[in-house]
Amino acid sequence: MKGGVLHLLLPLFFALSVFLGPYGFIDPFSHGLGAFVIELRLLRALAASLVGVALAASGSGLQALLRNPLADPYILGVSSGAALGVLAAIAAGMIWPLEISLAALLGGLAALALVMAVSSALGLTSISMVLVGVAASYALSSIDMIIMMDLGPAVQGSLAWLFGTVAYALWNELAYAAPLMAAGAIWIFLRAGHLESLMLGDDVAESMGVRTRRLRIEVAVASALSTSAAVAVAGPVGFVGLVAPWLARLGSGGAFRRTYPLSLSLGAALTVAADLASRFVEPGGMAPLTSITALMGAPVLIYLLGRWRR
Amino acid sequence: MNAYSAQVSELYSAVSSLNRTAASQASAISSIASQQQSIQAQLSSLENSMKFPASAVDATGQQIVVYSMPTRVVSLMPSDTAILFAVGAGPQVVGVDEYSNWPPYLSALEANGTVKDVGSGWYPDPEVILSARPDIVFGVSSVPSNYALKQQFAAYGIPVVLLPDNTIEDVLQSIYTAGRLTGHTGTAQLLAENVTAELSYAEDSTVGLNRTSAALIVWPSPIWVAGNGTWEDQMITAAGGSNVFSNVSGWEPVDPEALLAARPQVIIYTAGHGQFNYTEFMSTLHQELGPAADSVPAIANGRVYAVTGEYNDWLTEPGPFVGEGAILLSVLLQPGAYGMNYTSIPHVVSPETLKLPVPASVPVISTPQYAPVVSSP
Amino acid sequence: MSLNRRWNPILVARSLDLAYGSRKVIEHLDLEAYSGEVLAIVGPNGAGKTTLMRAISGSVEVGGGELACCGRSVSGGRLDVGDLISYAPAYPDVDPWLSAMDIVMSYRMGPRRPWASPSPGDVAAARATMDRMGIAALGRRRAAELSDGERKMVMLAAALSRRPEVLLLDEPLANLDLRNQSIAMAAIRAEAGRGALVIAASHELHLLGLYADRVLVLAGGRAVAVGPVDSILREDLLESAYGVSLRAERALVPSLGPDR
Repeated sequence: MKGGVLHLLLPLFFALSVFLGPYGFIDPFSHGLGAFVIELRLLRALAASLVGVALAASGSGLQALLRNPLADPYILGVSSGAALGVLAAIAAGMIWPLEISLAALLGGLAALALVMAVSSALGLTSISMVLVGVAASYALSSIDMIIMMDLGPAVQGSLAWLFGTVAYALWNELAYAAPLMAAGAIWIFLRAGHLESLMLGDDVAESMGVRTRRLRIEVAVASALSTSAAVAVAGPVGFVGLVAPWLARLGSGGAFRRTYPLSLSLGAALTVAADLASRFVEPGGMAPLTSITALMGAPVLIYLLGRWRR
Repeated sequence: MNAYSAQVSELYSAVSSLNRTAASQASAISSIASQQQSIQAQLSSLENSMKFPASAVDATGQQIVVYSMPTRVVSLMPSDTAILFAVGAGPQVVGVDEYSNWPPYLSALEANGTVKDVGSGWYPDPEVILSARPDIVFGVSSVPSNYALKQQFAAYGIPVVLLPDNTIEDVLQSIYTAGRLTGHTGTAQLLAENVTAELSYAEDSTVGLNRTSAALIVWPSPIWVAGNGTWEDQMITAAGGSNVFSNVSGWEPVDPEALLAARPQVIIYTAGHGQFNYTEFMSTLHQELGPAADSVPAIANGRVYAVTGEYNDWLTEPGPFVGEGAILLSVLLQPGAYGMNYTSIPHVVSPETLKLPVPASVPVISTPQYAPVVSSP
Repeated sequence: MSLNRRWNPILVARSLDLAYGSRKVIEHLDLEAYSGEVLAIVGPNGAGKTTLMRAISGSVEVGGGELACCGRSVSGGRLDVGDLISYAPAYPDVDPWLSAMDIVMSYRMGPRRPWASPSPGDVAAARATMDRMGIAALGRRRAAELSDGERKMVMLAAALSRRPEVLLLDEPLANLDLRNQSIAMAAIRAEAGRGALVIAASHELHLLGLYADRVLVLAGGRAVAVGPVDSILREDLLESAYGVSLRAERALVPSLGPDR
C-alpha cells in the first residue's frame, strides 16, 4: 500500500465532516444559521485534526524514544496531570472553558516535570521513564478520583471532558493550543533522524553522535507539550496516539523518518472520522471520542496486522 | 403611551362596529373572523413592542438583550422547561432536552413535531440544537458544557441564558429572568408570588414546632445527600425540619457511619420515576449501615419515605414546584401540624398515595394553557 | 596476508583511563592504530574491550589521558567522531519491527536531516552491501524474525554501508555459521583494503590469523601486549592473560571468502 494514497484520508474525512451533520447538508455559500453551522463544523474538524496530529506525534515520538511499542502519549502521566488541573480548577470555582483548558495544559506539563525529575534521579533511561510515568499516572488518577468524589454534580459536567470531545472547542482555545500542538510535533520531526538512529540501539545511536540523554529530555518535553495542549482542547482522547504510528508502520513500512509524517496524517484522519461518527452515533449526547476512535481504529489495526502476517 | 392607547381604542371600536353589523350580515361572518384574527395579531405585536427590547442578567453576570419576542425557544434542562411553560412561554418553545417531562402534554407536542427533542442538556450537541433554529436558548449555570455553548453561540448572536439553579432564590430569579426575556413579566410575577405563598404556607403551618431532623438522600449507593446551599436544604428548613447534613456543602457522598452518627428522625429518598423502589432502597441502606441500622430513629420508627412520580420532580428540580415541594416535606416532617399521624403516611410517597392537605386559599401551580403563537406580521 | 600500509596513526590513545563511576575499567592505556589495518582486541571477559570501543565511538567519557581519532581528540569528555566511524555492538538492540533493509538504510543515513529520504544512490549502496554479505534475501524480513546469526550479519552489513574511516566491530564473528564467518572475514579484509581501520574485539583466537594484522591483548584494564598476530599467538602470553592453560590443536577453519 503506497503511503501517499493514505495521506488522502485526512482531506476526505475533513470534507465529509464539514458537509455532514445532524443539521443536514448545507450549501457552503449559504448565509445565516447555515453558515454558523458550517463554521462550527469547520472548527470541530480543525480541532480534531490538530488533536489527532498532536497525539500521533507524541505517540510516535514516545514509542521510538522509550523503545516501547505500546507507549501512548499518556504514558508519562500527562493525561492524569491534565485531569488533575481541570478538577482543581473546577474545585476552585472556575467554569469558563478557556480557564479550564489552561488548567489542563498546566497540569499536564507539571506532571511531566515531576516524572522527568524523579526518573532523572534514577538515571533517565527509557525504563526508568516508563516506570515512573506509569506510577505517576496511577498516583495522579487516584487523586483525581478523590477530588471527583468531592465535587458532586460538577463531576457529571466534567465527565464529558474526561471521555474526550471536540464538540465544545472554541476559536480562542485553538488560538493558544494550536501553536503548542504544532510546536511539539515539529520539534519531534526535527529529531526524527535521531529517533531513527535510537531505534538501532542506544550504543549505536551514541556512536553516530546522538546524545541520548538530551534526546530523551527533548522528546519527552515536546511530546508533553503537544499532548497537554491536545488534552486542553479535547480532553484525554485515547487510542489515537497508540494506534496511529502502528497504522503508518503497517500501512507503508519503513523506518521512523518515513512513518512519522504518515502517522500524523493518519492520526488526524482517524480523529476527524471519529468525531464525524460520534455526531451520528449519539446525536444530541456526547459519544465519547475515545470509544469511537477505538471502535474505528481497532478493526483497521487488526486487518493490517493480518495482512502483514501473510 | 398615548399613541398606543389611541391605536388600541381605535382597534376596539373597529371590533365593536363589526360586531353590530354581523347580526344582520350573516355572509360577512367569515371576513369578520379573519379580520378579528389580524386584529389579534396587531394587538400582540403592540404588546411585544411595549415589552421589547428586554434585558436581563443571567447567572454568569452577563447582560442579555432581546430585541423582539422570541418565537423559537430551546430549553436544555427540565427545570428551565418547567419555568418557561409556567410563565406562559410554552407556545414559544420549539426544543427541549430529552429529560424534560412537564407539562404532561409535552410528549404530545414532541410527537406531533411542534417541539423537538434536542438530546442531552448535560452534553448538548451544538448542531442538534441549531437544527431547531432557536433564537434563544436557556441552560443552567451549574453545567460546564453550557458555558462553552454560550461562548460558541455568542459569535452568531444567539443568546444562551444560563439560569441560576442552586437555591430557592435562584429559582425565583430564574422565573423573573425567563419571564422578562420571553415577554411574560406579568405571569412570571404572578408565578413567583404563588411560589412564595406556598413556601410561606409551609413555614406558617410548622412555625413554633420542634424541628424534625431529616436527611434527604438523592442516591442510595454510595449515599449522596443534599447539604447546605441547595434548594432541598432550604425546603427542609421551610418545612419545619433541620437538615442533619447542613455541615456538608452542596450534594456530596457521605459515609454510612456519618448517617448513623447523624441519627435523623426522618429520611427522605428521591426515588426518581420508578428506578429504585422503597424495598430496594431499604435493603441497600441496611446493607450499608449494617446491624446498627435500627439505631437510626428514622429507620426504627418507619419514617423513611421514597418519593416518586411528580412529587420526586418537585424535590429534585430547581423549578416552579419548589413551593409545593416544601409543603410536601412539611407533611412528611411535621404531620401533626396537619392533624395527621406519621403512621398514616405511606412509605412510597407519590401523588397517588398521598394527597396534600392544601386549602383552596393556597395557590397551586396548574398546568398552563397552550395557545399556539400568533406570529407578528 | 597483504602488507600493511603505514600512515600516521589514525587512532591514538595516551595513558587512557576509562571508568564507570568509581569502577576503573581501563588504566593508562597506550595505543596506536593505522588506516588500512585490522586490529583485533582479545582478552578475558570484563577486560575492557567493549568499553574501549565505546570510548572510541563516543558513548563513554574519557576519564584521564588522551584519546584521538580521525584527527579529533579529547581528554576528559566525549569524543565526537560519529560521522566518521561505524559501530556494530556485540548484542544488537534494534527495534524488532525494523526490516533488515530499514536497519541498513538507517545506519547509512545516520541521525541528520529529518526530511532526508534515501537517494537512489543510498538504496543501491545498501543493496550492494547486503549482496556482498550474502543477505540480500533478508531485505524485507523484520529483525524479530531473524535468527541471532542473521541479525548479526545485518548489523555488519549496516555498519559497512556507512563506509567509515574507522570500523568498530564487537564480536563480529560470534553466532555466525562457518560460511557466514567466511563472508564476514572477507568483508573485514576488504574494508581494510579500501583504507579503513577495522578494530574487532573477538574471542575466536583460531580465526585471528585469517583476518587480523595486529592483536592487542587486554587484561585487567591494561594492555598486556600488542603486535603482529604471529607474535601474540603464544601459549605463555595468552595463558597469563586469560588465566587458563592452553594447548595448540588443529582446527577446521573456513577459508577467507566462500568462493575459494
